Amino acid sequence: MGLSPRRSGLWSCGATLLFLHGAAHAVVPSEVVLVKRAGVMAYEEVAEAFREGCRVRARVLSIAEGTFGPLRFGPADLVITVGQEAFDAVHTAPGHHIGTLAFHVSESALGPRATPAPELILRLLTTARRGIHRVGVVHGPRSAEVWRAARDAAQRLGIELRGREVTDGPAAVRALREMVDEVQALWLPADTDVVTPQVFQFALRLQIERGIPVAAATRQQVHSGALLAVDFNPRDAGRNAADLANRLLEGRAPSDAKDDHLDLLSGARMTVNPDIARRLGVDLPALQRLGARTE
Amino acid sequence: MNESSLDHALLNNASGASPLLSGGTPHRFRRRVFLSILALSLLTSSVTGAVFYSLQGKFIAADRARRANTLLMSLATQAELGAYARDSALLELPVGRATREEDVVLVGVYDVAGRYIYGAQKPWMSPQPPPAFDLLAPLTHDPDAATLRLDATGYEDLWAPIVTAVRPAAVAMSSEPGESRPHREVVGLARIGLSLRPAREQLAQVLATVTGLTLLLLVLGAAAAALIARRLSGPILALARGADEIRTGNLDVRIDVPTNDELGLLADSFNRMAANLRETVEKLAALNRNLEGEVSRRTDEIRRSAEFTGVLNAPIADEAEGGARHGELRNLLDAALATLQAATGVRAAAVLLDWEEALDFELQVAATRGADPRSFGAMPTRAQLVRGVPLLEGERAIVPIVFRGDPEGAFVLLNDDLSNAAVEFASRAAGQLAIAIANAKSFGALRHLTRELTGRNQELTRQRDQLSEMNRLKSEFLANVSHELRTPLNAITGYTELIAEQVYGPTTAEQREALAGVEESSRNLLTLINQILDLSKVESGRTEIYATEVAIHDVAQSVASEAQALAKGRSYRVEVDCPDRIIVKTDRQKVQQIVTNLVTNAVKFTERGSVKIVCRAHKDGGCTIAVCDTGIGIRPEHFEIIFEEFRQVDGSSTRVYQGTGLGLSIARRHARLLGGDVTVEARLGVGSTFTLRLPSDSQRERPQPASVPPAAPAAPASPSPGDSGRIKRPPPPLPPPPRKGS
Repeated sequence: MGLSPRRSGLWSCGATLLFLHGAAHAVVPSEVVLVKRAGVMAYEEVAEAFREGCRVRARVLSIAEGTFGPLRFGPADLVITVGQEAFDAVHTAPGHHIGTLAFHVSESALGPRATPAPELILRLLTTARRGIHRVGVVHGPRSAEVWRAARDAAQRLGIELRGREVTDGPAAVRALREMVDEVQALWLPADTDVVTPQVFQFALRLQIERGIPVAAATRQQVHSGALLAVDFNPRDAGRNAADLANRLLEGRAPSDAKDDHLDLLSGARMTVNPDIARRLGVDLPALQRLGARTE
Repeated sequence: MNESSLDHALLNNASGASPLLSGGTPHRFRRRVFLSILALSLLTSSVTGAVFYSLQGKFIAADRARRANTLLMSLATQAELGAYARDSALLELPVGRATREEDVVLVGVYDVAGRYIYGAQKPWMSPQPPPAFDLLAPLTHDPDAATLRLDATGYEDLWAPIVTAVRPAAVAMSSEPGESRPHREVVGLARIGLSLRPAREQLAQVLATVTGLTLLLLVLGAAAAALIARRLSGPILALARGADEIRTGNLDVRIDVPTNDELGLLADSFNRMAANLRETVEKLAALNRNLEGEVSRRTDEIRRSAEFTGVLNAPIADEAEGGARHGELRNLLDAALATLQAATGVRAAAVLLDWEEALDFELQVAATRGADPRSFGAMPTRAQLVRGVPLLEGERAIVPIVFRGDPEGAFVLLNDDLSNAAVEFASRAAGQLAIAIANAKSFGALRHLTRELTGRNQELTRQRDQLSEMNRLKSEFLANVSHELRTPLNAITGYTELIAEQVYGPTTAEQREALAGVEESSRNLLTLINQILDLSKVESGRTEIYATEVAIHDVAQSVASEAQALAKGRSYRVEVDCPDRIIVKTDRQKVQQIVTNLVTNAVKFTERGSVKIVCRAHKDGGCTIAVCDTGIGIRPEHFEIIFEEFRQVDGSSTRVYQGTGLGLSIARRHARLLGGDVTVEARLGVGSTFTLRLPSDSQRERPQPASVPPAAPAAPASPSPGDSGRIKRPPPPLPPPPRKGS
């Protein structure tokens, strides 16, 4: 596959193309269907960018919140899922599936990971405050791979990463309370099983009471009070999903996408809360020099 | 004492001294006012206290409920994370804060299954197990469930759900802000035990305060009641005493109520009323005195006026003709002057009158009293008197005597001091005297006229007697003439007929012609005599009416049949237009005589044309019989002349139509005797219509004959006027047949 570096970066950051059945074989989809939850602006942007980039007309299936269930498609259908709910609803069903903006995917999934590189987050934290060298992390079963990648990155950066594996939000709260005296910053990875709103609120409370910076998973969480977050542009994710769909429609094998690599800095979107940064006394200019945007 | 009792007390003592005046002032009103205000105060303070206590109790209960909710919501909020994480360490702080509240005896946090997570309680509290989960179950399913209140000993056990927001995973991981739409779910239960003791202590404190305030208000109300009762009853009693004084006639009383309120105004009104009453009584007394004096004066004036009027109304004696002309009036004036002088008290008085009533107004002294006539000064002029206003000239007063705007004379009063009352009395007396003088003058004139009238009546009576005698003589003459003339005329007529019939030998044509002239003249003379006799009978009222049912048609036919002989030689016949049904009650002979007269005249004056008898019935039962001709007619100015005796239209000696001039006069007189009349309508040269109008009953409608003096003996029956010798009459006595050789 001859992807340009720009397109390759977008691809690696925004989309994960999954061919759950017969992924190594070229297929000719009979119909292209985009599945998403209705009412989410980011998902709408993904769908719009996908329709703009896809060579065939896609059927969009919007499902209301709380009504997701197992979905069934034909064996020759190409299904693009947007978000974790859509992925969870279709990934066990037969057919050809492409997932995007899903943070937890199965091992058989094609394409690059959708989770931002932990190294980037750790680098932002250490840049924000010079003295940070112990970072606490709560993670669950679905974020085990992220935890391992983060641990490796921490070693490379010389940071002590103290992690606690939990199974749900209440346990994550208790874990945060127990580790708060031992760490200088907290990282809340993109794992909705353990990072619940209550966990996020407790982390913010710790950030206020103890002055511990909190790195979150989404730009929305930065707006809610977290110091910073790294995520992806929805339109980039939509366009990358359209590129992959076009290649599949041209008859190329999905396995070609596995050779693509991530360009960490070119595809991620770094967001910093300037008010929180000012209150915590972090080095905002340094973060901006790394490409972070203040919102 | 209230108003009614006060009135009652006053009424009961209307004849004697009032209890207010006698000093026995009752104080029932004051006591009643005091007790009323005290009762009102007690009622007001009690009700106010009860309402205040009730409201305070509600406020305390509501405040406790609000405090309980606030504490519970605060605990639920602060314990959200601890309950969510089921981490007692996170609950230490909120539970500790809640427990530090004085009235909070128990604090607990439980999970949704009702399991205890963390809690605390007051040291003196024994452990309080949670209630059965069935009671708490509704709270675990409904984030919006209301606070659950359970009764416990000494405290209120309050439960509320601990709610947290749960965001869907996809939204939680969304990269865009503003898309969070979390839903809420219950993660635990918060429990607070709120002691009831503080509320009870507050209520007891409120009750004590209210009781104290009520008693204080009661005391203040009693004091105010006493004060108000005293301030109300005092002025009222003063007003009552003052009113009682006024009632008993003491109008000098003054009610002293030194306040500016309504009672003070009422007292002022009483005082002003008493002053006004006093002033009014004084005015009435003065007016009464003046009125008595005025009544006395008026009575005296009336008495003197009555005396004066009595003098004037004294009957004036009838003076013999030729007596003193003004003697009686002078006596009247003397008496009037005496009365006037006595009434006015003047020194002297005189009456000036225009005695002569000549063209020039000249006053003379008619009567004097108290002074010589020359003492009354110069005579006033008419111009001075005509206005009727008294003239005051020093000691002299001239009071005009005016009757209907015309000065008759004047009173002259002489006195050193002439009072207005004297002049006024003289003025009124002058008016009465003017009337009396006028009456006296009228009485004199009337008496003069009466004398003249009596003389004339005597003359008329004498003349009437003479006329009656003359009339009697005339009737007697006519009767004699009737008898004395008709007898020889009958003889003349009879002998003339015998000679004409050649009983006494052959006669020549010239002799027969002469005999015919004698016969005709005799008959005309006989007719004239008969008519004069009829007229005499009518005038003397000796004409009798014999009314019977008369068929007018028969009368008309009869007259027409007889008249055909008169119309012999004419170019017409007498026609009759008369319905059969016309019947009136009248004298047939008189009607036939009248109609015969009219028809005879019509035929006489109608050479050609027609003569017609037209009868018509009237609605009133009467009828008209009209004789219409086409003769020579009559001028309108002769319509009445023709009905006068011995009058004809052509009265010359060379007239064409012969006649006595009595026929129509007798016809009209007979018609009027029958209650009808004869009228005429005619046009000269065209014809005439004489109409006889008859009533339905001539006996009823007949006019009453005027009383006439007895006339001469009735003349023998004679034929009806207008017979003109053509109507049958009793034959005159024939002379004895000639004897041969005589």
